[in-house]
Amino acid sequence: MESDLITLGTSLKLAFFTTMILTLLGTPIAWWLARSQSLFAGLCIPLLALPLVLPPTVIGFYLLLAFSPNHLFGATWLDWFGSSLAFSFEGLLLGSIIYSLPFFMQPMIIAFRELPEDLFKAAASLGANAIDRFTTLVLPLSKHGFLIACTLTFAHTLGEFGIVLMIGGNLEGETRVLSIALFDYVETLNYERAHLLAAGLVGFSLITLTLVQWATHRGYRASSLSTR
Amino acid sequence: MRALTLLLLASLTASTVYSSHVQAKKEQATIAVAANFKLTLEGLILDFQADAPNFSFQLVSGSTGMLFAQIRNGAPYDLFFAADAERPEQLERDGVARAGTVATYAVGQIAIWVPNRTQPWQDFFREHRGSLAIANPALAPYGLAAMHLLETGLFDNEPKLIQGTNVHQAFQFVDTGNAQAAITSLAQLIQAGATQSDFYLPALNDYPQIIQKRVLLSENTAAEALLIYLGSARAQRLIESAGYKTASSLEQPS
Repeated sequence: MESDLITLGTSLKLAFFTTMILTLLGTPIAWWLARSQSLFAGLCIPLLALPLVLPPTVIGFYLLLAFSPNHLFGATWLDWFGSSLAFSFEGLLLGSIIYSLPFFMQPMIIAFRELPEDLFKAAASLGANAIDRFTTLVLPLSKHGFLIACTLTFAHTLGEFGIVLMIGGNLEGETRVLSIALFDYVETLNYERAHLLAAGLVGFSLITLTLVQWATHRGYRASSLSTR
Repeated sequence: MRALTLLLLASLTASTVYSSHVQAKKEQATIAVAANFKLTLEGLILDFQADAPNFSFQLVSGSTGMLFAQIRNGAPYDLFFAADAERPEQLERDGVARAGTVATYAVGQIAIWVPNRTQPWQDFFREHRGSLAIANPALAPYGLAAMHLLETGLFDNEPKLIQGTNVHQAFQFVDTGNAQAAITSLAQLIQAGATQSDFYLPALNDYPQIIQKRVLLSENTAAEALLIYLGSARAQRLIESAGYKTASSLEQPS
């Protein structure tokens, strides 16, 4: 039971940091992608959606090769930080960020595209600078987008399995996450503990999706009211 | 020309009829096999089929635990080669397998694999401070054996244990350069063509025997014929050359 709590902690930590980093890095990129008409931006959008259609094993495989000190990325990382990314929490975090990228980016790009352009022009003509416009207009108007993007990212990271299995190494408190512990319980016929984790994940995911559904619904109602 | 075409057609038809006739007589079996023995079993089946072309086999491989769960839930396998002794015995006790058909077919050996080793083994065991990849001891008998071997104090410094789901993943962690050393199976190293000087074979009594048992799950002619072949001296030699001990080779150590 105690080891399950440690595993739960690792999973929550992973999901939290993945969501946080994607929010910080993904938001400006999503903003740019939503507005830009350039060919480069047009190429970036499908690239960012790639993890959605690729099996996690493809990403896991490439990450395993990239992390290896035999290759440039892994060797450089080892040089700078003195430890390898494979079998470490940081490595999992990097994998999760890549894997959950579309789950954050797609809702954010859609949310940003729906913002009325005229409003920003009006605000600018009234003397609001870029930061003012972002904090007083963009953030409140796209909060539903943020809510959806963050909950999806968080929940998706909690359910991640394939990548972790390939680059994790199953270290307690470091890379053993819920889905891996569940896999181990099923394989060792410990169905009781497996049920506990599985039912927990089902319950959590259901609640999350219900929240997202509720938020989306409210978001649409709010926006349809405002256009009236 | 026309006569030739006719002759060709006739012979084609004849051969189709003949082969479909043979096909109908073909005896088939579906075999569930633990991942570590899959390639070895494939080789054995090819050798068997050379003398008995009427038998055909379909292999399903995976972890012993997964295959066991599938069999318990009604998977249509005729024969089960497990990586341990417990699962086949459990199936026999539960009445899922045919009573009296559990037997040892191979005894696994573990090996320590260190590619690009620069020191003699003694120095390596004394000085190694890096990672060591093993199979998950909760899932894989080879991982459990590795843990027992480590408890004998083989390494002076406790290595950082990286767990793969099975010996193949432990091997792959080292093969991709992400870990420096692995405890894997001798069979895996032989299959991968590892250089002999890169691996170390611990004494058999330094870890609990990895007894791999098989059990019949149905009445199937092909499966039974294969088991008779596996008992032959020729098949036993093939199993031994693949990196396993057999029950007979353990009784009379060479």
